[in-house]
Amino acid sequence: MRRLATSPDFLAGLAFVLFGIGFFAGSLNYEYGSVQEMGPGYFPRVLSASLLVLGLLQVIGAMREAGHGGSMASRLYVRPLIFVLGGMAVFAATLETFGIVVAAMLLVLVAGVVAPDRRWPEVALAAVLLAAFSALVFVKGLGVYMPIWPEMP
Amino acid sequence: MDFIGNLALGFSVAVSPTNIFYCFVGVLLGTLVGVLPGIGPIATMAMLLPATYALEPISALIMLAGIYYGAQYGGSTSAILLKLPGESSAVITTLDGYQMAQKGQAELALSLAAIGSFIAGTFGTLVLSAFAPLLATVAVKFGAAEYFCLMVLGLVAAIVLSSGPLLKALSMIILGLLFGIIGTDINSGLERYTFGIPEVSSGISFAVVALGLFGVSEILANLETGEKRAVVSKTIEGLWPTRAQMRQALPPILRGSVLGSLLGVLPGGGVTMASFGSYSIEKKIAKDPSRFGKGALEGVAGPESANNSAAQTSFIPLLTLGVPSNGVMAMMMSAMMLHNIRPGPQVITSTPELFWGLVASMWLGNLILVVLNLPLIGIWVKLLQVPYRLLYLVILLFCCIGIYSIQNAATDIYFGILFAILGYVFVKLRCELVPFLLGFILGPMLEDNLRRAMLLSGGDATVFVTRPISASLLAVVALLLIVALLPKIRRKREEVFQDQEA
Repeated sequence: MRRLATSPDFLAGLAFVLFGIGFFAGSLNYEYGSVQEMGPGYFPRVLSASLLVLGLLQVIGAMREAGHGGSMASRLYVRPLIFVLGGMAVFAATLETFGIVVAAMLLVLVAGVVAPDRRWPEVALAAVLLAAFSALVFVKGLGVYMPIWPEMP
Repeated sequence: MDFIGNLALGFSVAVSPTNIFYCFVGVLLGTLVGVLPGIGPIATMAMLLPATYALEPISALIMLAGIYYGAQYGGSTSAILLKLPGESSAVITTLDGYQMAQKGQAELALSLAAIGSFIAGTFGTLVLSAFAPLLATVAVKFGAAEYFCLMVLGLVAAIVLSSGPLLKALSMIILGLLFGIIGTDINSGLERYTFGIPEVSSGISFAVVALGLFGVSEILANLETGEKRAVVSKTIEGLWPTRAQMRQALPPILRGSVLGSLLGVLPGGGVTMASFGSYSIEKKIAKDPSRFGKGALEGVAGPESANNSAAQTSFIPLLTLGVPSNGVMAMMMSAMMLHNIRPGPQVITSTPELFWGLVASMWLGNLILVVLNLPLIGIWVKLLQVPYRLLYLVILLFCCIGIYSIQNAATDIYFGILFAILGYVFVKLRCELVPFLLGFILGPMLEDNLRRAMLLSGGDATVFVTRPISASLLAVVALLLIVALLPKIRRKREEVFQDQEA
């Protein structure tokens, strides 16, 4: 059972089944129509049903194979996932109110936690330089529309 | 023949100072990301897409195309000097290229790669300008049914010719199609799967998906493996090969050019397959195959030429049929649509200056690459010494700024996070991401053409087999699927891809 639960084929199949169910359930809200005049629900319903079937086939295939020792999924590294994506989320949350300088520095500092051979002075320096670079090149130079400094109330 | 006239028109567009400038910027950036491992052309093009809004469409496309073939070229530099493929198409170059560098022939390997790329690029450009108009004249007659079958063919061919299990790739395509139709339905005006979020009502931007799936999730994958880089100490000088070496390298370059331009046209084939194919041909016909892997110059000249001509000809399906053959072409397609150009056969007839300008700029770009990059190799090597612990922060920040600037929406960054998770997990589950990307870009068009075909035929599904062109397209689809499912060929196919991974 443990081998099955870590088999990439089993988990991928399961993911497809779940996505299939999700999209199928959503498509029920949209009109199906007929073959001649397809409604907005026709295409997603056919596709999600096929995805569901394909996913099931893969789940069954993986269960058969598990008895003969299928391969294992490589492990997930949670730390980079949390800090890299966390950095992005902080950036998204702060950009519009605090401006690119603050948001960029926060992103670098949060994502920098998981740097290989991390050296904090280096990360801090990178934060300052990258914030300055983004403000000058992207906002001033390329005209990307975003505030540079925090909005004054 | 107006072949010459067309090329003359193209060059008159491509040599305008503005367009030369953007071509230059494109190939320079492309070489940069090609040299640096951990960031690919898809993510770079997606990052720069918002910066092209203000440009003329032709300048934008010239720059984006330059990133693509520049990256093919740059990938070889780090492969030869550091045994570190900057791009997947350069993996094979690490075998003999690095060995040549170890023998003190780094300069020779680099210049052969450059010369080969240039010859192959020229050849690819000629193939493109000769065959694209022919294909386009056929494609102009296509109706909704033909387009539907053509897209199905493109998607099926992409999975049959790519690596990995068929069922998984097929599922990834369907999932991509489903994500692609998120947003307002063009026929009924109904919002589908938007959960009432206003930023999604026009669909999720292709660039958000590409940056999340490829840009950010590549960072996550790279952070696991840590740093494995050798330091280059050798200085680079004396670049040109001798006459005897050139004579030895020329046949592989020519064979690579031909093979690459053939494979480049195939959906899902593209550059990586071309370079692997060329290497195995050279090894097979060599008098002494044991030299390969120990620094045979044919093992560098052939594959490096093949990947470059494939990069040129992979534009053919997109520009003539409107069907992207790989992830980068899907990116180009979304760029064209952002600039209100519908990719397809009408591009050549309605905007010839755009089509021929782009073709001519590719040849110019190849010229720039040779002239510019041989002297710049020293700088690229210096750049490679920037440690990844700093590089990933730069890439991540640029990805975020790129995502935000698409429609000035912070919400898009949260979507980027979702797609990064999706990409990371699916790679762990050994599912390929390119089929998802192709499905995503083709989703709305596939649905639209299916609906129109059915409406026109009055709900008669036999329309796909009674019209000759669509019937033959479907026959090819069936043939591909049968071939891929035959047990013997399946085993062979798995072997081939395992060889490539090893």
